[in-house]
Amino acid sequence: MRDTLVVAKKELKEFVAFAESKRGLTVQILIFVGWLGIFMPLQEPDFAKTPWLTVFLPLMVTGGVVADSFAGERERKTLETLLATRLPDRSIYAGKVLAAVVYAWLMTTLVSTISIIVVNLGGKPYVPSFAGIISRLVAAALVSALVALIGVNISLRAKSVREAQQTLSLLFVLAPLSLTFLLPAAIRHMPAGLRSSMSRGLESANPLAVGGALMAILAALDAALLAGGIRGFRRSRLIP
Amino acid sequence: MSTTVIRVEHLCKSFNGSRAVDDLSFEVPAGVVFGFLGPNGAGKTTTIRMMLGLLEPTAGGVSVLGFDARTQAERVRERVGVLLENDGLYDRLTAYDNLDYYGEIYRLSLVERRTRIQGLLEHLELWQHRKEKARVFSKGMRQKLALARALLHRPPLLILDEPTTGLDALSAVSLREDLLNLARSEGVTVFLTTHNLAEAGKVCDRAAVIRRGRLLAEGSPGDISAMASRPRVEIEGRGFNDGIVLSAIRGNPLVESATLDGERLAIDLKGGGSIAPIVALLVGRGAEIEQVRKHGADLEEAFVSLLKEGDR
Repeated sequence: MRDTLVVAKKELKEFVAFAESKRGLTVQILIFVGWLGIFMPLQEPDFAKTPWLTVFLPLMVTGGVVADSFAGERERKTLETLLATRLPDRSIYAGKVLAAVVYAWLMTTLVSTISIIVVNLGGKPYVPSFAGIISRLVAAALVSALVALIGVNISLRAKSVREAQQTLSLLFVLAPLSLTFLLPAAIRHMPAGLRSSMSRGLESANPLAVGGALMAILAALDAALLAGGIRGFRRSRLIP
Repeated sequence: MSTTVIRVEHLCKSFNGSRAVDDLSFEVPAGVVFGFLGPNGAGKTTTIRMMLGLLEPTAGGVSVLGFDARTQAERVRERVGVLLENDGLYDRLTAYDNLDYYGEIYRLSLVERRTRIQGLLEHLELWQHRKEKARVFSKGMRQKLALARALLHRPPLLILDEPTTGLDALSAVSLREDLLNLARSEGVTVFLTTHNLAEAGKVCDRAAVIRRGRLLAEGSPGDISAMASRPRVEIEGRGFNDGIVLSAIRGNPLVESATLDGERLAIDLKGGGSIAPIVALLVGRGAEIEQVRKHGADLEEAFVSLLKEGDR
């Protein structure tokens, strides 16, 4: 675990150091806080109550960190020296994933918190329950991990940062689009009986139980991707 | 610890059917600066990658510091400091942060890291640049910083792949001096690849020459020079331009070739040839000898000669 933290710390430090010179990190934070944390909740107070931020913000902010994780090291010719150290394969891989998760989770938590404050300041009192806060935090971490794992695996195989960014952008545009259009279309084309029984089931189900089940599925998916990623990580495949 | 730090035995590596390393065997004793010499594409970097367990050999094996590089690669990498073909520095991080990261990787405590980083950077005259990002460093400064990183965790073995490539003459001399000073003061065995023969001749205690993945020669630079070249004798005096004297010299079984340039006779002896019988022959034929000089080829000439022989 200590090795994983060492790699993650350096990843974040390098990301911040790079962004600092271009004011990139500050600009990114200001955009997300201004748009999703202030503007949207003022326009639509219910925005802060929906899981929209928890699901989509990690998609938007993780790309920059994960695209660079392996492809950037390969491009800047630092990867082989890193691979020649004592670090175990799993720590290098997990450290890169952890850095992206931490960044996406912090950003999601920051923007969500600000959006709730803004809604309350706007005269629409909204205090999420303790269970609601915890489930948001956990869900943000699980979605961030899913995005980070997919992104790191893409970066691992990409020849350059640009190639990794392009693949990730395509994926991160397609994922919300499919959720927005394909899911409703799929539901519309379901047999009427199945659709109504699903609808009845969801209406009668405990929202916490549904949320818990979704998070369990996400957690299982994350664990499977992490295990697969670590198993498939081979130093010899990364040597040019 | 065994007195042999690196043992390479019948090592082979093929890529898509083409042999990059071909039945390579040699040993590196502890405490020496070992030069691994060869032209570009000779298989030097591939051999280093196999030593570090980054590539798996197709056949044969490597043991480093008593550990099998194939099955105990993590143990090897724990104990080795490396400066590879690319310096591997993080341009976005400061010089200090670059070293600090590797110090953490090698599990040095905070106090150890501070002391060690300061010591190395001061020794290499980079301490005043510790807060500058690596991207603003010159090539020479980068190589020094990468050398400091390789030595940070006090490894008993340092593997350096072409450390002076791309440096101007002054920077190369400076890096070489720093490397030797640090290696001596820290008692490190150094495995150094280079195609700079002058450098190898100056710094290496032992060397191996490879070409197309095969070992051509191994020994001290002096041994390699002697192995690969015929000693040359220059004799100055009078009475050599008698055709009979010259024919007698050329016909001598110890002599490879002889040329006369005014009053100077240059003779290439066959391997291990002695001068005394040649001098006796000349004196016996009435020549007057004023001066005799025997030269061995330097490492560079020997290297070229070995490569030519390897091509035959």
